[in-house]
Amino acid sequence: MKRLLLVSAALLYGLGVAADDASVVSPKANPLSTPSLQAPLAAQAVMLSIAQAGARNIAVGERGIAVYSDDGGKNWQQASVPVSVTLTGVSFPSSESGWAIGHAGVVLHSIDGGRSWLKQIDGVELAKLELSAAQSSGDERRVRLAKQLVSDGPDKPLLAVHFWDEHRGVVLGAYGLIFGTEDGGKSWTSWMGRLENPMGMHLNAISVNGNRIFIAGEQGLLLRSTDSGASFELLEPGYNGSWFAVTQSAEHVVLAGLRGTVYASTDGGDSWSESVVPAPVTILSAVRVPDGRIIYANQAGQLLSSQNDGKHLQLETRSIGMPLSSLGLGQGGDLLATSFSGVVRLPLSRQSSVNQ
Amino acid sequence: MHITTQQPPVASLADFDRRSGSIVERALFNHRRAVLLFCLVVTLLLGAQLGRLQLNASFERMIPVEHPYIGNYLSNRSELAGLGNAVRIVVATNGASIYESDYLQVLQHISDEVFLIPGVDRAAMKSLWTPTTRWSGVTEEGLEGGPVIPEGYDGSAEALKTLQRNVERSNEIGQIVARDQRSSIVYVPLLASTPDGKALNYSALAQELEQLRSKYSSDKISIHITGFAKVMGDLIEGLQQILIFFAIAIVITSVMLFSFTRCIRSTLLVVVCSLIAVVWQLGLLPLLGYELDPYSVLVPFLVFAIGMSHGAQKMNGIMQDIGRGMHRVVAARFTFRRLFMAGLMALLCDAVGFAVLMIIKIDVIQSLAVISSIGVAVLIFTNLILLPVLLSFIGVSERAARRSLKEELAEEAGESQPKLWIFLDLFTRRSWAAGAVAVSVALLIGGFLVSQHLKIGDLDPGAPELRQDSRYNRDAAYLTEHYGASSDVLAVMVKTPENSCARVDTLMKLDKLEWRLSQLPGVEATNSLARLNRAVGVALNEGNPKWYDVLNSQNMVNTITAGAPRGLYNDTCNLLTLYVYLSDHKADTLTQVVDEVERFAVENNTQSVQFMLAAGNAGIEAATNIVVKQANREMLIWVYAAVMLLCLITFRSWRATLCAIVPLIVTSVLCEALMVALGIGVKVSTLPVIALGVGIGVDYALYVMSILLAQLRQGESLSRAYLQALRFTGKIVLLTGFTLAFGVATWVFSPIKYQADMGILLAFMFLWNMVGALVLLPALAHFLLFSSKPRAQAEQVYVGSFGEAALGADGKQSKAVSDCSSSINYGT
Repeated sequence: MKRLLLVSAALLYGLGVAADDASVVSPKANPLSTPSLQAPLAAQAVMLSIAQAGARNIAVGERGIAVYSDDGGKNWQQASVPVSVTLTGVSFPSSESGWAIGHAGVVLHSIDGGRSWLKQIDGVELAKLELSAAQSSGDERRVRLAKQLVSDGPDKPLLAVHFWDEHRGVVLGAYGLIFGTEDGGKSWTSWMGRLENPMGMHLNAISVNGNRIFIAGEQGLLLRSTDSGASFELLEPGYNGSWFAVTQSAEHVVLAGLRGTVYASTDGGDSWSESVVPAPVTILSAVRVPDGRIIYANQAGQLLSSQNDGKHLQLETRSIGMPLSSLGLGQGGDLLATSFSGVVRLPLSRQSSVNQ
Repeated sequence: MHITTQQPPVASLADFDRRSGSIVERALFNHRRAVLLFCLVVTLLLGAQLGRLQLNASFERMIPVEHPYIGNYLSNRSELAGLGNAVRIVVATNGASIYESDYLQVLQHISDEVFLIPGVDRAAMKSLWTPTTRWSGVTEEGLEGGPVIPEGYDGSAEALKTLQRNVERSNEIGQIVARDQRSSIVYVPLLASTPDGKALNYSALAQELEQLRSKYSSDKISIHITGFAKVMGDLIEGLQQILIFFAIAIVITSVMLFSFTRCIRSTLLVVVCSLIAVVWQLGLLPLLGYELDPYSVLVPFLVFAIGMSHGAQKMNGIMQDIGRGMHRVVAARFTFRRLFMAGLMALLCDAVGFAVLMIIKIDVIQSLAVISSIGVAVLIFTNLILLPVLLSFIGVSERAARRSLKEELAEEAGESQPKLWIFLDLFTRRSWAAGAVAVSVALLIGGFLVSQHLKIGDLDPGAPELRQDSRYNRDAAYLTEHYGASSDVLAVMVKTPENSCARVDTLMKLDKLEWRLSQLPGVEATNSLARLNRAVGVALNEGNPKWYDVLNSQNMVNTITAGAPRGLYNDTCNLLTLYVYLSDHKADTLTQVVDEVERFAVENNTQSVQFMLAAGNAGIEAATNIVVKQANREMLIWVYAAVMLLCLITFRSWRATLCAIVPLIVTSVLCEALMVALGIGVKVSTLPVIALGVGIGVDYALYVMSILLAQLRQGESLSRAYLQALRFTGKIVLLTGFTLAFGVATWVFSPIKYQADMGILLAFMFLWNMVGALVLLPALAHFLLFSSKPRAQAEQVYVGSFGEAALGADGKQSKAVSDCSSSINYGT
């Protein structure tokens, strides 16, 4: 779809700009080598993902901005980050150790609870890893695509990250990029051969429950692993729009995506049914809160909620006036939503019946 | 020495030696009729020119064209349509929203009519009805776009709905559509000249806009208009009121002069001569290709004021002489002899002081310098020559002359010295002089400390020239409230080689600068091709905000650039524009942005990518502020240098020069402090006021000092010399100081705030310069100047070389000092 868009945009306007195809970005301009600016208004920047590390919340967003709060999201301090690409995801398996990912295939690591970050790997290295993995697999098509990946340079973002503990984690993103580590990010392995994704769809979201992993992506792509990522199977719930969020408990799995589409499964993903959603607006994030409900955030800035089966969604709040990109929980039990203007604290209503 | 009690030797015309006096005096007074005829002819000729005098304003002339920022702007101007001088017409509805067919119809009429006004940059004009206002959006089918007014718009509910959806997808909310969607803007960029090559007529433009306003305003539609052109139009329109206040000031001045002289003839003569000077000055302007603007309209009044001061001096001298029984011609000649040089020097000081403003490379200030220098030069003819010549014909009323003499004789007798004279004389004594100097030093230090807070540029939102509750400023406030920051924009230009504006490398630099600027206080929003890349990156990826970055992919950037709206880059793709929307155009806000861009440019400019300041109203204002700030100090240094030089030439004594200049410096510093207290910033319109103040103040000092010095050189004590100076010129200094201050003080009630501010500042300077000349000058003289006592007795060093020849060995005045600048004597 994205390729289609590019073509139609080009047709619509006629390409008037000629520029060298070789996009050599000088070190001075390259956000991959420029530390994030310590910005007075960092806490009001475009924020994209949020995590909890013990009592602390850590949020990441545009221009390499990472901020952390020790008071449940009231006050934020900016962390020092060695890159200024947009950061898209953050995962803290412990209160001290965490990973953040972003554009240009950047993976950052923090061992001080998110106060400072170091780069572990970027898209240039990841592409090389995939090329050597492709070559040793002997799959010619894969080698060709991997070579393209190398020659494209680091232009593709990672979009999601999950770490089981301080050693084991996985990062995934645009055009089917997916890499895992078993040693806390010292070395990475390409998982691209484990996934059935011939069209190179974007991998938008991941959900892990024990050994079961769901990966949701572009154009209805849904993958499930039941062996903790050693292998994946393709599922077809029956929708071909893009998924942006996936969440699961013991048997309940809920997918959410384009134009407010929500699918729910009550048998661990074997069968699916479409849920009832009051607003046809793309859902970008879904999170399970302690009372068992699922809270959803959409592009119109609305919050929706459902019971943990994800069957019936209802509007939880009026729009805050700008898209909400992801959801997390704060120390005091407040919902923390990342938005185009920093992290927003949204007190969680308790009026819905609790079914835990 | 009792010169004034001495019977003048030549009372009658018959006894007068026509060959006496300087060559100038002989040339003028021996051909009085020729002089009159000449002046009459000139007055008629120049008077006939008055009809051609233009009053206009020009945006281009208000900006420092030689500043590199403006150079950058001007050389890229054709690519930066709409970033210069523009008018915004806000058409607001009191209905629910702008999506009503009635509203849109009115808007269409206004948009169409504005399109036809001469001087409008039609290609860059923008409203909901212009085809340049487009929307774009992502649908399942791909990227779509088009004009916001849907094709086949028919005012139906369906069409209005489509329009609303288009507007919401157009990125124009906060730009040409208000955030509450209850008003929209007709954005009207202006050209410097109309198609026929004439300069844009602001007054006519403002009138057309007002006609639009009255034509389309109704109980449903209200119209708000802002922009430089409107400010100028309002100022020009307010001219009538400005002129009324001038007239009031002239009447007050005349009445006060009359109440002093009680002679209607001579009072009228002084007023008429000063007005003739104004006629000459204004008549010369069209001949020399100048026009008045809303700021230089004050100059003719200043010329009048300076003329009154000099005229009154001449008249007073002649009146005293006639009172002593001299024939009026003789009186006129003696007065001319006595005061011509002092007057000439004072006027030259003024003229040079004003001419120094030429160093400021802003066109309006340069023409202000020329206009005021012309005016002052004209005064040399009208008030130093024509006035005494006319007086020599007309004379003064007998009673007034006797009255003036009676006062003088009484004063000479000793006991009936006016109390004020006795008081002022105290300042020639040690303790009072020390006190005056100490107070002045304290004021100087205090004033200096306060003046450090003097701000450059505008300190208030809207147009500070107009009152805060004026129609214009209410309109400007409406715009700010409903549209956010969009009216104060600073544009950074990014120059690249042709077809390379969209290189990823360049965009990433642009993106970096944009982020740095957006972190500054006062920056409300930014827009650029980099920002568009971020936004479209999200849109092209199904609205997933995680794609909010400038992708390091030339193909992607090319695609986005191809669909970018007009204004972010130019047709040849060698210029990018970064728009920085500011909360206001106060000097502090601008300085921060400019400094940040400069720092960034130093770090990031290369052969192929150059970040350049500045376009947009705030960019131009920033450049103007920089020039004004530098000019403010430079100008004072030059004005004082010029005035000091002329004083040195006149007095031939650095000590006397110091006595004359220090009071002026105190006034200048206190005037700056006053500007701080009143919240007036230094800007193009207020920059010249302090230089003008120095020019006016130096008159007083020169008149008082020239008499004082002459008396001292004749061996009088400081006290006696000062009393003599007070009698001859001091009372006129007092008179003019009060009358002019009183006259301009009425401007406080002017509806034009600029005039009110000028009224306060000028009144302050008229008064304080007077106080300085009458209090601080003698006090300083006490410490610096010494009487030329007999050399045997005096240990003091004799001051100056002038008049030395006039002193006999016994130290008594032995011979007339014939030089007119110093001679108080009438021959012995």
